[in-house]
Amino acid sequence: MFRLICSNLLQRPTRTLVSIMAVALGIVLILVSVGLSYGQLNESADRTRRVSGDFILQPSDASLFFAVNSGTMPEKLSQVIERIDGVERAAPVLAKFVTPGFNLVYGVEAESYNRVSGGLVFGAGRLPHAGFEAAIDTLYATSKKIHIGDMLHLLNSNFRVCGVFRSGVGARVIVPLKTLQELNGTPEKVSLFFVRRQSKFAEATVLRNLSAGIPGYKVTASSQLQSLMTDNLPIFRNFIYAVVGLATMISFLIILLAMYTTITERTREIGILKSLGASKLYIVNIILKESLLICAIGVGVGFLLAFAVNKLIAVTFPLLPIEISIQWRLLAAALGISGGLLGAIYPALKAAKQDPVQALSYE
Amino acid sequence: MNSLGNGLLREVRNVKSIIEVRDLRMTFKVAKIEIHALKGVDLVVKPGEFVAIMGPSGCGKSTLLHILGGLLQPTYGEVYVDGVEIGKAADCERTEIRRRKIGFVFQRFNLLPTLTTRDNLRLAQEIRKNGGTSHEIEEICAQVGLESKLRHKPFELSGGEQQRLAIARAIINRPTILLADEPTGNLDSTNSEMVLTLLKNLNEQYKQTTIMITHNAEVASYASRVVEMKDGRILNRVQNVVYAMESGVF
Repeated sequence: MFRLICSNLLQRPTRTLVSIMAVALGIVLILVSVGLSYGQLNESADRTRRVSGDFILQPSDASLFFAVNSGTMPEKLSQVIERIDGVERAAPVLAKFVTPGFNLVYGVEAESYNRVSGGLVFGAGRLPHAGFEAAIDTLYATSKKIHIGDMLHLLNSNFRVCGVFRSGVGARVIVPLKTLQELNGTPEKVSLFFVRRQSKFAEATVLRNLSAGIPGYKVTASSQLQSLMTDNLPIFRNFIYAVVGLATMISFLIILLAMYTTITERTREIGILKSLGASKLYIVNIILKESLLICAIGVGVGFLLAFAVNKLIAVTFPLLPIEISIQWRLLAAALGISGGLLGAIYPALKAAKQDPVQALSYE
Repeated sequence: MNSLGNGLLREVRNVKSIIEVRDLRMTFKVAKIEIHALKGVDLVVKPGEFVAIMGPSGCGKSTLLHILGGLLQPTYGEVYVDGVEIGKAADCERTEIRRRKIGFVFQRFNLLPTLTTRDNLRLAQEIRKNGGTSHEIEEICAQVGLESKLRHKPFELSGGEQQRLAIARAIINRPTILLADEPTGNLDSTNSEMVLTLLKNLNEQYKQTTIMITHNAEVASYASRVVEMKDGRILNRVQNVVYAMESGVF
């Protein structure tokens, strides 16, 4: 049977190749989209978690995606927060999304930000204190080829780079809070507070105190940040589902079309097999195994292509993190194969049901 | 004649026959028009017999062969193949009988074009699930004169070679019955003679029942018995049964 399957696939090399590439395209679509989405999200969550101390305090309707929040909270709220039992320090932060390069910029007070984050690790320089100074992380500095003392054009202003800190903590660009508030047109307003608790207080206790002490605001524990961002965002989930659905549909439809055409062309062959005593199950098996082989090769090619595309993205856009878990790889492979197999079921059943005498007389 | 035929047939049901057909009718519907391909066929074939069914085009001989091979289900009548009623059998049962007991040879060879000689034969073994060996393939190829063509695909073989390969494929699983539908219809006289001699020799060697369809009297002369058909009926129906009984078959 394997020889028959292989010889059938080789008989129509272009169609086989197109089918394989269609399955591969689905795999690439899943792996690249999911890789970019999860990479961006997880890396963002990770960086935020590292800087945010123990809690993030935001307006009740604010998103965990800081980029979509504007400055609506009074900066002076930090004094109220710091009076709550168990709170050691609160750092007011104005987060601003900068479209060229799709970067998040933090406006911070150097002293409070350092205290809450536990201190950034600087390769050179320091945090900005005032005026048009900016600190950038190593990845940003490398990708933009910027060094200490260089000018950074941001928000229609020129900032002098005063420090380069190790990447992986907070925003990639940090400017003084007052400067960003002025540029943003929101003086004395911030987007959020990073809060550090005193070590002798349990996280749950301080969380409770914060919620009770500042009613009407949303308090998120940093430890929950990653799962909240990835698991509880309907838009993100819907996007992933849409991509996965689309990829599965591509496999399904292409294999359906390819196999349907195949069985029409091979009607006579099916008649011959039936005359030899092949059962319906045997014929269904041939069609399904043929599509399984196409899908398996397609999945392999898809993995290779996805690897190449991801490498290309990593080289071209070093600030775009890509993260593909083993679970997603397995799921992509399973979806590619199952989509193809589902697409082959109807042609396989149609082939098995063919009347042998009519099939034998098919021209 | 009908009552005499049926009486004889009822009698021979008690004796050993490999094929027994009683009052077989087959009606096709084409665009709401009924076409009666078989109009009450009775036929008895003894084990090991070489029977030629002869008649003009459209007389129903191919339909009869397809029913005997379980490819078609008759509209009415009884068909016993090696003691099993296949006329009313389910599709899967007819498939099983076809796999275990029947080998087909077609006018148009019906080989799988993408497979080599060896693989065409191997596929037949695989479908039969009889655990056939490569040695058997080589042996049967030697028997039909294709030992040097094992790696050739059908399009690399001549018409005669293709038909010999089709015969090899039909008999590789040692079927009880070989059904040949105009096996020389696409061959020249030299290849026709070669194929017919091969069929005759195989019939004598393996004692497998062979039923051959033809419209050519010369081709039919290779058979041990000729059954004539016309307009969906066997012409010499009673004589055939009497012949079978008188010749000590039953």
